[in-house]
Amino acid sequence: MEGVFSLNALAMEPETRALARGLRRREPDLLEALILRYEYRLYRYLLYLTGSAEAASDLFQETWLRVLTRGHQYDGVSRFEPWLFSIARHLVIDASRRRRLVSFEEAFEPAEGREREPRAADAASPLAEYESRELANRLGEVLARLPGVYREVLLLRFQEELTLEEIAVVIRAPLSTVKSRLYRGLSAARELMEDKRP
Amino acid sequence: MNDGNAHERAQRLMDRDRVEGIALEERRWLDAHLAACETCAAWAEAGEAALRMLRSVSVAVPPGLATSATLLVRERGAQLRKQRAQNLALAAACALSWVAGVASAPLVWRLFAWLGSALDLPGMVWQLAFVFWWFVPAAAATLVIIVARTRSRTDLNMSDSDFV
Ligand SMILES: [Zn+2]
Repeated sequence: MEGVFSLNALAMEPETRALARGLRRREPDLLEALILRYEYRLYRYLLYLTGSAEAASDLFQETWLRVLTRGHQYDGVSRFEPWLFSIARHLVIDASRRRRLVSFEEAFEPAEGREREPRAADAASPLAEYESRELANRLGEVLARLPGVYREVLLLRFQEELTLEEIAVVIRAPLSTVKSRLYRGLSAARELMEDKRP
Repeated sequence: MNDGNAHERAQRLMDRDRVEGIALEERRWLDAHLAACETCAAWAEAGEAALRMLRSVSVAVPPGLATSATLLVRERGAQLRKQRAQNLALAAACALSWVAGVASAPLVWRLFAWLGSALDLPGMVWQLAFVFWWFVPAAAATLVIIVARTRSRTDLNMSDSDFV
């Protein structure tokens, strides 16, 4: 497994280096391609962190402006996603200081707009679909009630599928903190899920 | 190991498996426990279902989100390029005026000395006048540049803390 990961890392290196070069030069076409590539994931991450579609949209724009002005700070060695998410996270923290971010429901109740990924329940039977919706609602409520420090690590780990080391980069905390927050987050989420069980 | 301890251990192993992985021996024990314990097996399944849901649940991306971000970034990029060109021009002008100042310093020094003797001023006065002529414009320009840089840094400053 280790060998596979390091080979991937080697194969990935030229792409990240080219990316860093393009970001230093603020190449408009590169930025456009990145915006398109990460549109869904970045928006979803922001939506889950803020709980507000409006705040997520604003922060989405701000994140890309930061990528433009701070592109020279991307090292071109590690993956781009953790760097991108760490910028977005800082902006969320800044925004939450300026105004309280509320209404987490939106994250699980798509409003007007485009859905980029199929719903988990699309192909399922009505009963399975009902159960799936039920679980999604419960999950939404649980996430909304989880303290932000736990919510963010759970999202980065299980939704964005970042490694523990990458999460440490995003939240600028030691690996031990990442692990303990994940354990506490899982435990807190489990307790909340149990409370919400019908 | 009594039952309570076994359930707790199973719970801990399930969490650790999700976070950092578990050893082969631990996996064997966990699989055996899950095969025999309905409660823990139900917990395991509920946990997996929740994580599957977290990965697969869809969110609606507002229409035109990427397009508006692209336009904004292109516009700001053009502004930054223009600003950079202006900064370069300013730096070039500063460098040029500094070179001219250095080159003309001996001549200006003699001019101030001549003025000093023609007006019968004490040496200290015309020498101070020369120093002012030499430093004040450069100091003013430096101040302007420092203030501009501090401002743009403050605009971009990112705070560093946690969620509450
Ligand atoms: Zn058990």
